[in-house]
Formats: sequence, structure tokens, C-alpha cells
Amino acid sequence: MRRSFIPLLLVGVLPLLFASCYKDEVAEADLTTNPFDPDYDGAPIIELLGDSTYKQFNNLGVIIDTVIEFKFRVRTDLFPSPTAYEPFGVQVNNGTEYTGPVQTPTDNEAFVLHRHVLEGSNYCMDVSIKVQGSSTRSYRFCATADL
Amino acid sequence: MASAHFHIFTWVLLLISTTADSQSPGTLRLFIDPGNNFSFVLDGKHRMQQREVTLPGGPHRFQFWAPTRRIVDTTLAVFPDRTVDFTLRLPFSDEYKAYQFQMKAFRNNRKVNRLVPLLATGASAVVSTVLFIKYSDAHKQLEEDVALYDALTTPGAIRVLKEQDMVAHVDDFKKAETRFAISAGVTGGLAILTGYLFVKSARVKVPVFDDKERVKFDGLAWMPGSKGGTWGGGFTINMAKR
Repeated sequence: MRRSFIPLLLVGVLPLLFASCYKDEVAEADLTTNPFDPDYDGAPIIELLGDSTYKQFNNLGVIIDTVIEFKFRVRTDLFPSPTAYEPFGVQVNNGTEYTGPVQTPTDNEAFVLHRHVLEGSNYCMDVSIKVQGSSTRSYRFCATADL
Repeated sequence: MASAHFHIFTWVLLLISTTADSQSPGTLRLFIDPGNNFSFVLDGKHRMQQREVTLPGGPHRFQFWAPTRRIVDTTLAVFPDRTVDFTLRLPFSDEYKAYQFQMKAFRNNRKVNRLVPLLATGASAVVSTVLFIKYSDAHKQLEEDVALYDALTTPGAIRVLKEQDMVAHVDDFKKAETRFAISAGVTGGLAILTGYLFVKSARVKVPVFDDKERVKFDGLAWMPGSKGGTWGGGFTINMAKR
């Protein structure tokens, strides 16, 4: 009776022993917490502050374009470490890209320009930031050209 | 008539001579294998355990025996005033040979039912341990990838990490996990089998050696005990004819 108990004990203990060795799998798809990840799904790192429409002139005072400026705040506090970045926008209507000047890690306000706008029309841009040539997740902002 | 008288005289002389020779002691030195624990019965009366005997000259009956050995029944001549060496290797008894055969079979049975499964389980456990280390290493690599992910500040590097490096590392992890699971299963199965065979083999009785030659030998001579002793009976097989 006592001896026949040993195999039963083994049957009971071994699965527990092996179960204790089990390790959770880490799926790459579950990683979405880094603000620089294109798949990031946390708190927005870009918050629109406002938009303004204005004309651009050359040195001779001639109008060369009418643009909408999207001004936004960058949540640098969410960055894993201080990082320089470039504001980056893509016009939804034609895919034209705009890359702003490099911002230092302490600069938390930036803007992008939507070019060639017409008074009264609505325009959208997908805004993100670029680091070393690659961009983060983008946020779409829209505005009506209003001079 | 004269011839008859001569014969009678000769016989008388021979008898006197033999009697005289028989009364002069001689020594026998016994070199018996096994030398440490053999016994013998001298002239069907005296049970002794010594390596040298001094006896009156003439023939004497010796019945040698040692544990696990056959009784050897023989007559040795003792020569007066001389020391003679006698060498004998006591053969193993049939019961002991049968016992040895049974013990060998028993040990082989134990090997098959215990040692072999135990070694197989041990080897499998070693393999499982090695595979578990690889499994742990693969998991550790993924944890390092997660730590790297949290620290990276370049979208491009994150994309490479997630779409190339981690895909390969997850694949390695899954393979290591599968291998370890199979190995652990085999080890577990072998452990259960080993336990079962241990229990099963424990039920096999250990062969017991019944030294029948000892019973025969004990019956050859009177053994005085604390209450005066008893007489025992027995018979001896003539080894010379076997």
C-alpha cells in the first residue's frame, strides 16, 4: 500500500514540478508602451495647441504661399530618456511631407506647416516626431484655412 | 610345515612392526582451500578445526567441509615421525552453485528493473536540465529585449527589435519550450516507470542459500552442547565418484 503510493506521488508531484518551470511567453505585439514605438498606444505624446493660417513672403515682399501652421506640444516627459527630435507632418490630401528644425530634448513645443492652402478649405495633417530618420506614431490634426 | 611356521612368524613380525609404527605419532599439515573456516571430522568421531594434526601412524579418515563447499571424505596415511603436507581445494556445493546462479539472475533482474531505468531517468533528467537552461536563456533573452524596448529612443531601432530580433527570439523561445516540455514529459514518464519497477522488483524475494552440506556435516559427529549435546545423523556422498 505504502509502496504503491510512490508512483502516485510522482504522478502528482512531477506535473507541479514541471509547471513551476513554466515561463510566460513575451509577445512582441504586446509591447506598445514606448512613446517612440510606431505601435505606441499610451497617452498621446503630441497635443495640439492651436492652428493659424498665414501668407508667406519672399525677400522682395511677394506672396509665395498660404499655409496653416499646426502648433503642438510634445510630451517629452514621457520619453524614456532626453532625446532630440524633429517635428514631422504629412499632408493628408497629397502626401507632401514637412520636417521641422531639430528640437533639443528640453523643447516641448513645435509646429508643422501645411502648404498651399485655400481660404475656407479644410486640411488635415498626420503629425509625428522623427528621431534619427524614423518617425513615431502620428496624430491627425485638421483645420480650416482662415486668414 | 616349516613354510607355514615361517609365514606365521612373518605375519607376527609385520603385525608387531605395524603396531609399533601405528603407535609412533606423525604430523599432517593441512592446506585446505578455503583456509580460514574449514572443519573436519577425524575418524568419524572428532570434529576439529585446525591446520595441523598429530596422530598415530596409519590410515585415518578425514571428512573435510567448509561453508558453501561440499564434504570431501578421504583417508590419509600418517607416517610415524614424519610431517606430511596435504593440499585440498574443497569444491563448491551444488546448492551453492544453484544459489549463485539464482543470485546472478536476481542481480540481473535488479539491474534491468532498477539500474537501467534509473540511469535512463538520470540521463533524461540531465538532458531536461540542459534543455531547461536553454529554455531559461531564451526567456532571459526575451526579458532583455523587453528591457531594451523600454530604453530605446529610436523608432527605427524599435521596429527592427520588434519585427526582426524579437521574432527570432520568440521563435527560439517556443522551440526551447517545446523541447523542454517533451524532455520533461519523457523524464517524468521514466521517473514513474522507474518507481513502478522499483516497487515491482522489491517484491522479488532475495534468494536464500540453504547449506545442506552443513546439515550433513553437522550430523557426522557428536556435538557436545550445554545440556550434554545430541546425536545427529547424516550421510556422505563419495566425492571420488562424482
